[in-house]
Amino acid sequence: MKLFDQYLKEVEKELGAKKDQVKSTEVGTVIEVKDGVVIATGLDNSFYGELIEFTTGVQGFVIELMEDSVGIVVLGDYLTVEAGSRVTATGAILSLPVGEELLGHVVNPLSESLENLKLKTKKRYPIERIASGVVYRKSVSVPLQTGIKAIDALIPIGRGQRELIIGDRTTGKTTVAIDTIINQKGQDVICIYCAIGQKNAKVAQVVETLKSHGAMDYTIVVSSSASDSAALQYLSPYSATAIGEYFLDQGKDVLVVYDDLTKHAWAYRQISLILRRPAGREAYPGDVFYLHSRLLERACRVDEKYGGGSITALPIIETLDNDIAAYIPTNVISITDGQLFLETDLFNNGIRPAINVGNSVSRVGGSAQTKAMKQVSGRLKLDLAQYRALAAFSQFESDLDAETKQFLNRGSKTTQVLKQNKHDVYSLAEEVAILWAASKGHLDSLETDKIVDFEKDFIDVMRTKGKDWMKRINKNKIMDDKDEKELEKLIKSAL
Amino acid sequence: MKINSLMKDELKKHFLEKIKEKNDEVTIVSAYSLSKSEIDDLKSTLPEIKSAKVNNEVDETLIAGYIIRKGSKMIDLSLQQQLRKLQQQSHEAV
Repeated sequence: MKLFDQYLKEVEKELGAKKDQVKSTEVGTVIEVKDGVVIATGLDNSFYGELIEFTTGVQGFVIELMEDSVGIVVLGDYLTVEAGSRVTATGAILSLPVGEELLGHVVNPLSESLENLKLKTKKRYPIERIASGVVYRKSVSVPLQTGIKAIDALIPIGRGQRELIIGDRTTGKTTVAIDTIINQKGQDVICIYCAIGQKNAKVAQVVETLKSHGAMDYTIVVSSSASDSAALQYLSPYSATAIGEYFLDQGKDVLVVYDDLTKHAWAYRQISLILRRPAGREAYPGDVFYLHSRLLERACRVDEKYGGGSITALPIIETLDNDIAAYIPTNVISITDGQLFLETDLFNNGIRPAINVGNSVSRVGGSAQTKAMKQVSGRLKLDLAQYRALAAFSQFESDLDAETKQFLNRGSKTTQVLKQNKHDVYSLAEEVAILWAASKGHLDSLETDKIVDFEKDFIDVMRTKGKDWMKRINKNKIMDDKDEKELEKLIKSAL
Repeated sequence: MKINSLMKDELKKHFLEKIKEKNDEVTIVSAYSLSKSEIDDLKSTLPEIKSAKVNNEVDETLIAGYIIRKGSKMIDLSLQQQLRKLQQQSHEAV
């Protein structure tokens, strides 16, 4: 009884709070219900992106304004909407709750907890926002350490960069992204993993992995699964970015992973075809480039004058049969500041992460690389390039001169060193130490299949005997002659 | 049917005018049919509908009060709407 009284009081309070006033609302009538899309007449004064309410309480937003009708995408169960029923325009633009309260949670693209929790956020952000302008931006200069040797050394990523991860199915695209999130522990980076049209089982697995590595404390998972409506799948990357922008406005560094944009393009294609928009190549609508460019343009690094902070974007694209010349892959390649190209052949040959170093590039990350890493990566790049050039050619030659043999030997050792187990991320000092050993030729005398074992022993040595050395490198991010001599001693002790 | 392009403009103008007229019309939906004096009362309190042509429709589900519609704009002053609001708020309070 007491509870009931309390409840009544609450209702009374709420009713008393607002004085009834005459307010005119914008209304319309549903004339057509298609898969997830509703066509309505009326709503003469509605605008693009306006939030619409149906009589059943389901919400939607305006995505198309035609001469005498509007197209509305339904967020939720569209089967409850009936032709002839009334729709009301709310006058509000589509927005979602954002805030620190979301950290550690799995939410849908409208920021509603998927664990049925009530997240008490204080602010709302619009889902679509114009990206920061030229004046507010600063060029990329701080590295985003992925903890993966091959990436940090050869294809470095900077904070505020957009680096595409592209490859066939099961080549470890998600793993690269997840490892990067795991490595942000203690780096003061907020991570957002945005699953678009993924299997729920896979998302659950990702959340489990992040939890077991203690990465959920600084991570938000925005999930729209394969069974969610196309509208939610279409919205989820924009929602994830909006959540990121909240942290950006606090001057924080944010990492957003979009997994994957191929499925996002599919969802948008579905909506567009239902709306009868003219179909172009591969039946995608004409604005499919703009779909991704406006999303990825929101990744930025803001000048300290305007509060600082950055959003780093790691979009993922799944290719079919290594075809990076297909429509969506070429679009996203041209939008981003570089790509990590993962290959099935390398993956099956045991070279994991299966990054094709020749085809992968980072257009801006080089300027963000730490001095210590630059000291080792220059030589490494050269070794690998020479190896690639000679490897194909040398298969037909039986007797090679000593110099060529030396190049081939160094190259195969370096390739082995760039291998790394999944979820086993390295600190900067660990990466520098092992890559220095390879580039200075300390591993040339070892047999190829012994490299992995040596590396394990060496890292153990570094974590015990070389503790002070590692601390120094991680702090100063540069190696002087004394450091190099000490490192050489440590390598010799592990050999 | 082929329509002469000159006619097309003429027709468009005609229909746009018709639509405008239709949009200027005001419909008052009420629970019971309103008398002329009641409509005049409403007209004097709401300046927007003063000069407009007023139609009266009856919809008993409103219970009491009325809905005023003009084009795609709507002012809902029915008891039905207030009850709906109460229902919504009591749901939210839980």
